[in-house]
Amino acid sequence: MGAKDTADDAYWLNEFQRGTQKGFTWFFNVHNKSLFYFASRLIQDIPQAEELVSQCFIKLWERQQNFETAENIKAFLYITCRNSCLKHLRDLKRKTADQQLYLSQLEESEETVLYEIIDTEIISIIAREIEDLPDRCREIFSLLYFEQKKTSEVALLLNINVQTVRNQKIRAIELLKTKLIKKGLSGMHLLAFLLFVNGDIK
Amino acid sequence: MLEEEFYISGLIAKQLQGELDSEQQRALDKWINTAEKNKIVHQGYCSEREIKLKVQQYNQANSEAIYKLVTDKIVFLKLQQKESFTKKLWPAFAAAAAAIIMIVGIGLYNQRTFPDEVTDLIAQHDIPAGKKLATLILGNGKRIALADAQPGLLVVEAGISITKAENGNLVYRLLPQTDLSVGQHHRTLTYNTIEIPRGGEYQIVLADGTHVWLNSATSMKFPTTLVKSAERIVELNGEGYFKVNHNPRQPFSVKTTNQVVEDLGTEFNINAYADESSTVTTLLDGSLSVNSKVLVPGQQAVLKKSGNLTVQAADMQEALAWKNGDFVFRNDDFRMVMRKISRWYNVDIIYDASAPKNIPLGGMISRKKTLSLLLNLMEQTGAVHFTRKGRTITVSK
Repeated sequence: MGAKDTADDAYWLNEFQRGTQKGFTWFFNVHNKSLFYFASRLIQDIPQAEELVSQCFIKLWERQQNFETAENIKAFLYITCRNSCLKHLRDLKRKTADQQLYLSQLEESEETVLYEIIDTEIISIIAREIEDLPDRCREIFSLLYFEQKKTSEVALLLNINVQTVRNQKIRAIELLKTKLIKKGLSGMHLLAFLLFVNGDIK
Repeated sequence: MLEEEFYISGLIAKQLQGELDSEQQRALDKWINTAEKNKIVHQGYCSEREIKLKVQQYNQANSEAIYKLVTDKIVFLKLQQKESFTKKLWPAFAAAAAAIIMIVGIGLYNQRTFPDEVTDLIAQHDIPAGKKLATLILGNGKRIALADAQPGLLVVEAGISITKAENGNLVYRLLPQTDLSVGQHHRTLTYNTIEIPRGGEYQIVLADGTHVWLNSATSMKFPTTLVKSAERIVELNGEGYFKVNHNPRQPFSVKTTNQVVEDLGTEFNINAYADESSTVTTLLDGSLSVNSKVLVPGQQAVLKKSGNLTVQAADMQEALAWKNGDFVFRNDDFRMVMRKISRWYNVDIIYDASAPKNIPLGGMISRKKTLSLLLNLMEQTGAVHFTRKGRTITVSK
């Protein structure tokens, strides 16, 4: 995958440095959800996290010539975001217990932030796997997996037959790579599509 | 900056996706053992619920709203501002554009070819699915490896021609000068045998137009000039799907070790492996009799080794799965599933003392998948574990 990513990254980095909207938008699309997740975990405040993330991208825009690699852009965004979050927590007049805890941890050592960055990266890779599912497949996957709807409910909701829902579910299981997600989707009891234990082990 | 974090998170994600190679595994293990906190953090990713909650949290981002907050405050470069500039520098610009297109081109090229390379790589280490593989044994004892044979005419023998068609099927045809009058050439009946090894499957069209699909570890003995005999009788060992070219004056029969199936104008499947506890005959269309018991479409006859014959409603999807290129397991005996795997992937199965006696398995998966993919899915039940050495699979708890 290295070659493809590098070629893509080089192209988009060039676009970004030329100052085009599509170059900027590409990096925005790649990083905004990760950054939002990262910020919302640190500051425990969703609307404020959106605001902080937007400021990080504005700072990125202002320094468009400064980046040699796409990975540097990612690192810049994380560090800018971490600083904004820390500043935000410090400036808060009234803090919740969680916010207080995060602030003291952040001030004490970098460790917490580094683990949060690792966490964000892992989750973003898994989430992208789901995002990359074909539209219909992803829609049905989300209803089954996140909203915990039954196959029959999904069929009714989308006005399609049960077999179509099942087929899309098989497809999702085939396309997804993360074993825990596959397992979560297949459930431990029903499902005629993945191999599963449906009786007691004798 | 943050290189280590990006690297470690990439490794953990790869591990979750089951794509970690041994070198990466070592790097990850090293990181895990560097600090107690690392170990705890790593363990957190073994919980499906935890990951699900986090992905949900991740997806709460309102990207459009954030994008609007950003674009309200910045001004993008307008390309027309540079127009006069670019006109002057047109050759340089064109070269730059070409370079960009090339870069994109390379990107697409890699994207297209990369998965193939991966598949090829996996194939070397993994055991691929079965394929068209068979040996034909002629009346004179001569053997022809059908997979290696070029499409075209293979043999002309005793009034028939044997051809390998472009699609690989073996096709028998009567030669034009052959006398078709029934019963005349009994003495000269020549038998051929087609043998399908483990890891193979094949299709054959007999001289009377009957089309037979043959599964792995199967052999069928048949008279080459079917049309000339009063009865058409073939012998089957293993599994076959028959689409009989019906002729009321000349019944078609399939003999297996302990049963005779007589066609009355039909499509049917016979599963008659010696290592299975029963012979199962499933009728798709038409009608047929099994040891004189008549079936209607949708029924199957199950003949136990004891000789006990029962007729029941068939699970068509399951019975015909192999012909449709799938595995369908529904409440199947675990060891029977393993026997199917053994035949199709040409592997030997050894049961460790700890191996579960019976895990009824259910599910459907394409037969085109590699062995390790299928075994991995089965392992996800948590009830069984497989270790592979060459073509031997050891089953344990």
